[in-house]
Amino acid sequence: MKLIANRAWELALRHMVLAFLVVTSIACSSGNESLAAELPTALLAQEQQRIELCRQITPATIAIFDRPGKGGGSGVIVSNDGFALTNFHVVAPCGPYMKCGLADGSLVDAVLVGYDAVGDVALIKLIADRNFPAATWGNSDDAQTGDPVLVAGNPFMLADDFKPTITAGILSGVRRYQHPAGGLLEYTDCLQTDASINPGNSGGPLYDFQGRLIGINGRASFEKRGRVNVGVGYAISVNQARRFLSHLKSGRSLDHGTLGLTVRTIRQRAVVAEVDEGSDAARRGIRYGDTITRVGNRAINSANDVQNIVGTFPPHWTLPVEIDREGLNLVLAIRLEAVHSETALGKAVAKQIGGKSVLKHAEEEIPAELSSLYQARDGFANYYFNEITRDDLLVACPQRSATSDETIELAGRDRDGKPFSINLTRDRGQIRCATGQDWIDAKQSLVSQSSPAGTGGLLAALICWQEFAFANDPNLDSLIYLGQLPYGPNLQLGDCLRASRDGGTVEFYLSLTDHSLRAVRWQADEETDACLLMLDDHRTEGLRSLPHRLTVHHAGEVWNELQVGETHEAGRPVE
Amino acid sequence: MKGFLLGIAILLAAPALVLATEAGQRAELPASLAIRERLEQRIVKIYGQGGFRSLEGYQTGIIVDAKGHVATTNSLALNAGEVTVVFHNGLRSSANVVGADSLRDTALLKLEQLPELMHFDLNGSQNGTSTFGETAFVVSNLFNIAAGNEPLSIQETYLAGEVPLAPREPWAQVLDGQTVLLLDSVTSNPGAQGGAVVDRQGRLLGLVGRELRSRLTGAWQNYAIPTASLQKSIDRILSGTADQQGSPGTQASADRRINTLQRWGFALVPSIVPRTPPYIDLVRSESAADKAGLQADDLVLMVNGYVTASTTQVRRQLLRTTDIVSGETSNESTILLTVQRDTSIVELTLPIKAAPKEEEK
Repeated sequence: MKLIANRAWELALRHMVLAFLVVTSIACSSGNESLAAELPTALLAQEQQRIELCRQITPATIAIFDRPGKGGGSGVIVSNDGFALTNFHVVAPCGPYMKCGLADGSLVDAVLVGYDAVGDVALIKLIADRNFPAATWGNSDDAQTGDPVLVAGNPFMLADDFKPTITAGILSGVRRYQHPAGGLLEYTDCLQTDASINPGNSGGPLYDFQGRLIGINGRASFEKRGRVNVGVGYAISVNQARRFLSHLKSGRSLDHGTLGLTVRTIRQRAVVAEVDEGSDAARRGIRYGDTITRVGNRAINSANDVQNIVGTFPPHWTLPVEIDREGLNLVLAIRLEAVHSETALGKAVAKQIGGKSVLKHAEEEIPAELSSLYQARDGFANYYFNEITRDDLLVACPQRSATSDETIELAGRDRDGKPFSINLTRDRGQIRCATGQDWIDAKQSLVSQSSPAGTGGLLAALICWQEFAFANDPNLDSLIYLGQLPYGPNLQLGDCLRASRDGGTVEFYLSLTDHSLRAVRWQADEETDACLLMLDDHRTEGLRSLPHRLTVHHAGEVWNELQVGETHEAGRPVE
Repeated sequence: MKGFLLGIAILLAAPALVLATEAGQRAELPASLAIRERLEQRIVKIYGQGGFRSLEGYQTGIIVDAKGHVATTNSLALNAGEVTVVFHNGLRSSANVVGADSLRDTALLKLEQLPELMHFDLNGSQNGTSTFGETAFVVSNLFNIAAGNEPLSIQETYLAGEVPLAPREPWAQVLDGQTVLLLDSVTSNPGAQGGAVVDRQGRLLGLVGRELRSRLTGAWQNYAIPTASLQKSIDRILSGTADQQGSPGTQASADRRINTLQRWGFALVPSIVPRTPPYIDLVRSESAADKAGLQADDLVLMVNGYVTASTTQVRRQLLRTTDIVSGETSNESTILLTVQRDTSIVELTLPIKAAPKEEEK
């Protein structure tokens, strides 16, 4: 199996294909007239519908070229503001800037946004003052073997006017797993089709027969016959691509998630053979000999099944994992860790990006309006997009305000009716509650201050929240946008901003609808359980918006639920 | 020329027909879950020798009776005589190679374990008829994409014709003169051989053939052995007797080819590349070859004084020798083999007529 970007104008092949097209079209015109007369009207209507379908899927398909126009592939526009999905291996040789040909014949500039070298997906943004035609999302989980499909793209860089080539076929298989080939790359839960996919089709769309996008074509099995289609192509499922989309918009170089355990297939069962020490799976209690029966919404029968579904999620994603332990059924929420270390990923990606071509483009005259949209930074495909997304979210978040009053005082009763009070300043965090009184020094490293006991660092989480929400000069240097991730007991999706502090990690989860701050997650180090602080029932008081219900989660359990009330009536703080 | 035009017209019309009946929904049979699952239960993944580039150790097979016989395309993967078979549900069994029919390039396996099996009924009324231009589906484990209980791949194709492969050079190595189903897409991929070609209702049309390339034009042939022909092949393997059907001329020459080497009880190494050096792969003990002093790893340099540079040439020379001799009332009764053994040249004399019983195992 090989990647199928087109690295050079394959002139000979191009002429062969053209010649063939000419021959067929001549032949058909003489054959078709007599045939059309005999065809039932229903059939002709269907044919018309099919033509309509091709017309429908054409505009969102783009041809992608590196700036010298030497190589390229395909892509598909997924939003009217010009974001387009393609393969990592299509953009890897292009550097930060590329040219895109649209079906209407126009050629526009595009800039790299983010990439996922492991899943072979990349996001670019077309730069032009216009509305772009976007593809309609489909649901690749609904796709079944035998479904008719259409492929659109730019095989062999055939079309001088960028009008996509359309090929048809069926799905030959779904939920395919393709082992890593050449380092990072791994196709999990992908679609297999016999529709013709050739070099240059890479990154282009796979549609169902309702014209909905179900996959991003990227690989094909070639053997013996050279790099031409033999009826075996693979597409990344659109559900995976959508799950990664917000992460791609974060401008980062993305990794994939893993459960941190090894599974073996034993008699149709996926049996845990090894659990990584320090992984969330180990902390949640998954152990040797457990049978994994379900991950997310997918039933599991083999080790391949586990990898197949887990591989379609980014790191830090929390997945419900159902296990069977000698008849005992358990459902555990496991947070995925990254497959690769940051340095390993960076090195492997750098190798594929090919520093040379990037340098070459850097020397080339790039128009200022384009070059202002790119910012290099380690660990990022294009830091510019992280910055703008992060800043947009920070502005939109109603719980953030720079006021002269940075202190927070909250008091009320906990779930047992016992009084509590919280006092946060820039220097100090303090809590009094039923279990006693704790305080931490905000000027010292938060990592070593994990009180109150059994919370994983509630006070540290509170200090981080206070700084995020009300500090006049918050140190946002390390604050980045991660993408959408599930959080909390219901695993709802939120926009995640992440910062490191004193070697610990803090994540802020914002509602997708009103951008309000819903949760703060503090984790002192990767190998210990985090403190998840859910913030609900926000009420505006003057210039500030404060939560009135704080729920503290730690190690898979609720530590306590604090209801902010009329503090003075609620009783005196306990000593 | 008229035929050519018609062919194209049919191909253009066929997809439209699919649409008309299904209104853009799932293509018929293999897409219909029930039929697909039934099909899957009758098709197995086969793992044997190989694993080198261009020499895959995996292929596909179809279960053809309740006794646990599996028909597949003959290949090097079966060379060890024993393979592993993986069923649709991921269960596996060993299987022994019962025999091969080099006339149709097929082989028959027998499963060691007999789980609840569903099988194709090759003689039954449920077999499809080949209507050309019609849609067909190929179900196989091409490229070994599916492991364990993972479902096989399904590809859509069209029946392009049922034609005898002319007994001339490009295809002569296998299928000399055999009638095969020609398929209008790349269906013969690594691992696909031995897969099932079915019609829209899931009825068996044929067995996917090997990857076959013309040495003359470089073109690849995508074909299948028709069901009826496959049944004959199975009968032939099971009975060990020659097939009486078909044109006598073709039949006779093919029969000779199958038995030529077994007659003396030795085998050449498999013909992997166009000029495979003619090494002796094995010599059965107590056979004519054994008695003549032939040994495994001998390299055949000459047959009756004719230089033999490849396994194909040895086979041809042996055929020619036996043809000539059987056609004449010559007093020649032996064949002279010149072989290289390590660093020495050895001459051996094989009797022309060896006991035919040694062909059977």
